[in-house]
Amino acid sequence: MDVPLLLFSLLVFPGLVFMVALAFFTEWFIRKSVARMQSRMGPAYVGPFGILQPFADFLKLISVKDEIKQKYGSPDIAKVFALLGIGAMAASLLLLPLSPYRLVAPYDFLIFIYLCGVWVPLSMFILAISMPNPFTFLGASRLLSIFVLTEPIFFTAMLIPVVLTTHVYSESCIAPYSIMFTATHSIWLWSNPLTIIPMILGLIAALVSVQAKSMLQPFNIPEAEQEIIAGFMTEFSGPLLALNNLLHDLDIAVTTLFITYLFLGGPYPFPHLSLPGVVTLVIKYIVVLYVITVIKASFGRFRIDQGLKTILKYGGIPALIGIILTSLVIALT
Amino acid sequence: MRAIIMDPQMLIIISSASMFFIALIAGLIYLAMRSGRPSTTLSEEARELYVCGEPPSVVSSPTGSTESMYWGFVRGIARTLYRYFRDLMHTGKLSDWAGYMSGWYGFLVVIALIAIIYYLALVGGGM
Repeated sequence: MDVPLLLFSLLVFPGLVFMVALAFFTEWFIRKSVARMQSRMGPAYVGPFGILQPFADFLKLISVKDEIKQKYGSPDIAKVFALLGIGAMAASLLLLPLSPYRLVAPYDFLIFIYLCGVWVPLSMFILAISMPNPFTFLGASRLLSIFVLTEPIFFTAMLIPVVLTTHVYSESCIAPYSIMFTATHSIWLWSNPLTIIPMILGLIAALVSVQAKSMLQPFNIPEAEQEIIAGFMTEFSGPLLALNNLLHDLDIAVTTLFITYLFLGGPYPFPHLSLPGVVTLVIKYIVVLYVITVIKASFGRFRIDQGLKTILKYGGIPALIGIILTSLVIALT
Repeated sequence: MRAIIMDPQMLIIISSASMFFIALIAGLIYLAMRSGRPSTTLSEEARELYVCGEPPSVVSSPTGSTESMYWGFVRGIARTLYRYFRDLMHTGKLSDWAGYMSGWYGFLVVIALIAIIYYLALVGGGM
């Protein structure tokens, strides 16, 4: 085992440092784009085009603002789980071909579910209920309702390219149902008339569920500003608010990156370490992020029942049809 | 760059260890960034719950009960399902209830039989 390379992958690229930077960029991109769509300036003062504003906000909350220790709260438990959620998302990147230290195992898609589908929602939920408040509990129960629907839909959608690549390219498959093999081969599924329809349905379901699990409009129901104060975030302040915001931004960045790789093929057909490869990867990431941003800017907040119906209708049904079509494609090939 | 193919158990151990390691390093960075900031001592009033500026006495309990969480979830997502099953079971006729329950138990028995037959077909030769 090459320990220095593993440490570099975990802590620098694509681990902690890179992911935190990408999370801040993602937040800036969403804030700036939404602001421009609504004829506002958006972040403008810190760094060129205000690009360093999320980092400045984070730094201020961590190092300057007071940590208000609420009477009934357990901020230490909240921080531990926020850090575990950040760790789970950064560790999941070892499964992508983006990492110089690439780990592959048969069925490692399940490990991706374990890291991003178990640890991250669990961290967010415990973070929410660690600082109790009537509004917090209302927000946390809404969060739970949304997670119960979006997580299965998201991972069902992500399963479509994983299953298709394993069966369609079975001759060259190094590890069945692995993230790495899917990421390197999924681009070719778009040129196959049999596989393009399940891929389109899966991409739609994945985008809808990312919008919901990231709590962006119209699914910002758990925080529901003004309606229930700030929902599960009502009692967060100072460093705890900074960690919560970072976890939220990382969640958007990591899920967008996984969609970019598993559905759109990352930098492929170009190699990673080439200019066209890097440009392709960045363009695909920005396109996915831009779609999420346009949806966010176009809608107001749904009620919880409307939100859940929308997730089922535009996320659940395409994911289900997509996975049935995937089974048919496997049976035919 | 070369992919390292390993067995899934080893990958679970490595990825879980990586997760805790990154969390530990991130925690140390957090502590370093917070160093020099004394833990805040606030007045009793500032440490109270935020309930729109009202005292916590306006709510029956300062922390929501697990029952509230359960009902929040049920009302949010499982209401339709709950109503469907309630109407199916609680029609007031004993025969409906018996039919419903025996239907479910029958379904479970069928599943169990299929599982047993499948198991015997799979490993029966080796027994």
